[in-house]
Amino acid sequence: MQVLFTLVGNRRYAIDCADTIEVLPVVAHRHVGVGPQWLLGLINVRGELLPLVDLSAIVENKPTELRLASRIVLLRLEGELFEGMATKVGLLVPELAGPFERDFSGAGAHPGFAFAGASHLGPTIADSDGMVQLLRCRRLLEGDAALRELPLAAWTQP
Amino acid sequence: MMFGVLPAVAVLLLAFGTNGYRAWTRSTEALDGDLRHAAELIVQKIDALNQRNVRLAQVMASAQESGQFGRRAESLRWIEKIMRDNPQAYGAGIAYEPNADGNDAAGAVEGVPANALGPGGRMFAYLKRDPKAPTGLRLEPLQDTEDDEGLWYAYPKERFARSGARDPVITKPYSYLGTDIIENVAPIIIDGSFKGIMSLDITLSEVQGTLLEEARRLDADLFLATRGLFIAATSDTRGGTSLRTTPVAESPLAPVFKVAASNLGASWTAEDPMLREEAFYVAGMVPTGEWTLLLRKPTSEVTRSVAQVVFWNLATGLVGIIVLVVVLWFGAAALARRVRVAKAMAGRIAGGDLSGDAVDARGADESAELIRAMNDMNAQLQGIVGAVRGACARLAATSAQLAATSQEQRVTVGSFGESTSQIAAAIREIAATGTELLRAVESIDAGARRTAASALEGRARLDAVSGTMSRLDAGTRDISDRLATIAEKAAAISMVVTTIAKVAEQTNLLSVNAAIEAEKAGDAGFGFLVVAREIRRLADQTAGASHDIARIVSQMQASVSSGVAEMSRFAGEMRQGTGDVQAIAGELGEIISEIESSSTRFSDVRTGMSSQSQGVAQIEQAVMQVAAGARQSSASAQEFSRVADELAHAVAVLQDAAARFRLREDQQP
Repeated sequence: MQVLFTLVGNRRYAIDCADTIEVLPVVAHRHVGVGPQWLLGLINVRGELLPLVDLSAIVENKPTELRLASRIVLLRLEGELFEGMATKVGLLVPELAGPFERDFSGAGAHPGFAFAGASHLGPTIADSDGMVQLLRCRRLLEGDAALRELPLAAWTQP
Repeated sequence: MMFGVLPAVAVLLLAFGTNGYRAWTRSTEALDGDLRHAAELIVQKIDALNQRNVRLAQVMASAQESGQFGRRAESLRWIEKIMRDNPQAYGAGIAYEPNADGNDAAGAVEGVPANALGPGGRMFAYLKRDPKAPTGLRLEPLQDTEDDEGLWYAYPKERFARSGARDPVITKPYSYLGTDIIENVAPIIIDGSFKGIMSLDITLSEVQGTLLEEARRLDADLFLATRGLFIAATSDTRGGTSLRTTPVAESPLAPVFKVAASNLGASWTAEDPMLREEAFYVAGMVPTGEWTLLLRKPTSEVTRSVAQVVFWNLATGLVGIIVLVVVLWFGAAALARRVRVAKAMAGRIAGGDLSGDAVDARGADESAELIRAMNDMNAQLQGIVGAVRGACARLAATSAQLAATSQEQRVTVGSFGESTSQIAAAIREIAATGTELLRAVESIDAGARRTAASALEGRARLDAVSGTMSRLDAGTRDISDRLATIAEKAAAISMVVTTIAKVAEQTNLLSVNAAIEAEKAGDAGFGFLVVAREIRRLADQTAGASHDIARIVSQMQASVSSGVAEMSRFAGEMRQGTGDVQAIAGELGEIISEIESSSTRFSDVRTGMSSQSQGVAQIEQAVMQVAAGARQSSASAQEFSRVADELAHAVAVLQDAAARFRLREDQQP
């Protein structure tokens, strides 16, 4: 499978290209000011206003430090949470490389730990640069209790 | 002598006689004119007084006619005021026809005193002066003293009824309750009917006072009469009898007044009945009141003053003639005596005898002056001859001295010539020394000029150095400009590199997205995936290269900046160096100018020296001339000696001539 690598803190994560619509440079966002720390605000993508979510705040519990290599990955999220409707969300990542061909379902892969609230963390593999863990983007927003209080309807596209 | 004096006396006597006769005639004529003129003036004066009083009466009547009639109290107050304002008036009266104002019955009730009322209550008041009354005025009823001719009341009333005349009249003189008066009466006419009269009284004493004043001034008698009655006469005081109010016809003057009636304004002489001697008369008519004035003066008094004048004239003339004859006689005798004395003196002086004493010559006339002039001439001639003799003696001594002195002078001139030659030699030495000094000064001047030339050359070289430094400065500026251009270009390169880096980044993103799309396409997109990966690699390389370029460019910019700083520091040092060079050039310039000025001074010194040299030459020449002069002086001294001898000879001749005169001191021994 084709994945994109990102480095959060000193840990590498992989994002499945199948969940990805496109990669964007960092654009200015409108700050929301309320809600959870990971919800940064709204961005304008060719006329469409979409929520921007901070990956570092979700997985590391601290805000992303912007660099030249920082990118926004436009995700397409589907599943029970979204009642079968596709939702587009911008994910701010500290830096991005790829795509690379990696196999996370092979013999060398560790399936991960099944704790509550860790459903967005997929299996981990090792390559020449060290270990990398796959992010299950569709479940990325599931683990947070505050998520239920969000007006999700506003996030959905008709 | 008698023939000169007697005709003059005769002519003078004739002139005095003629003059006396003419003075007599002219004086009598002038006196006649003067008296007539005086009578005219008196007439005018009395007429003016009469007019004033008549007008006052008329004014009083006019006041009644204009509304005062019937207001008795007010009328009384008014005549009282008139009395106070006119001290010449003796009394003023108001008389109404019986019950003319309708107030006769109630007359006293109005506050009018009973004294103002006549019989039946008619207004019949008279206000007269009374020194005994407290206010000086007394009010009393009028007394009807009119005789049959009609005086102050009946006459104007009858006159108005007869002719409608309403102008005021002056009554004849009469005695009212013992006071001699005339009255100025004006009728009150209202609505064409006679209502009464207003009167103003003047005493005859008042008129006589005026006449007396004039008579005293003229020293003559004056008489005033009207309607055959005397008003006043100044001879009253002489005769002791009063002529006032008496008829003219009964007086001794009746014939004179008869003549006067036909001679108004003229003068005549006649035997006066009162004085029993011839008198001079002048008559005149006072128009207001038709009064006749008569002026009388005895003829003896008129001519007395004229006769005195003529007598004194003749007496003074006779005395003058006698004095003149005596003075002329004595004057002529004295003159003849002195002329004889002068003749004798002149003869004596002509004979060469100056030894006579001065002749007595007192007096102020021309003959005394002639004698004094002869005395002066004699004295002065004595002085002159004495002085000539003294001068001759002194001249003889002086000419001897001159001869001796000229001998000494010849010797002195010889020794002076030698001294002159020594002075000339000394002067030549001074000239030689001066020339040497001049030469030394010229060599110093030449040295100074060479120094100035060297300094000028040095300054020119310094100017060249200064020019070079200026060019170097300009070059430095040029280099600085070029370095600035390089810095600009480097900035432009940096911008281009940034653009390239941005493009590389975009390309990188594009290749990532292309790879994602290729992945979605599955196996069909595999080839595209490879291309995308290749593109991404190229983009990464581009990014690396552009980073290198940026680093190099920034190094270059740093070098250029340090180069610019270095250049500007160098340029600053260069400018300071240029300034120093210019300062040195300035100092050199000062040195040159000083040398030039000293050269000018040297030139002055040289000019001075050469002019001194010329001066010395001139002195030398002058000394030579002096030596020549000394030689000439020697010749002149010889000539002088000869002239002194001739002078001695001439003096001897003069002494002989002076000895001819005989002086007073010659007789003394």
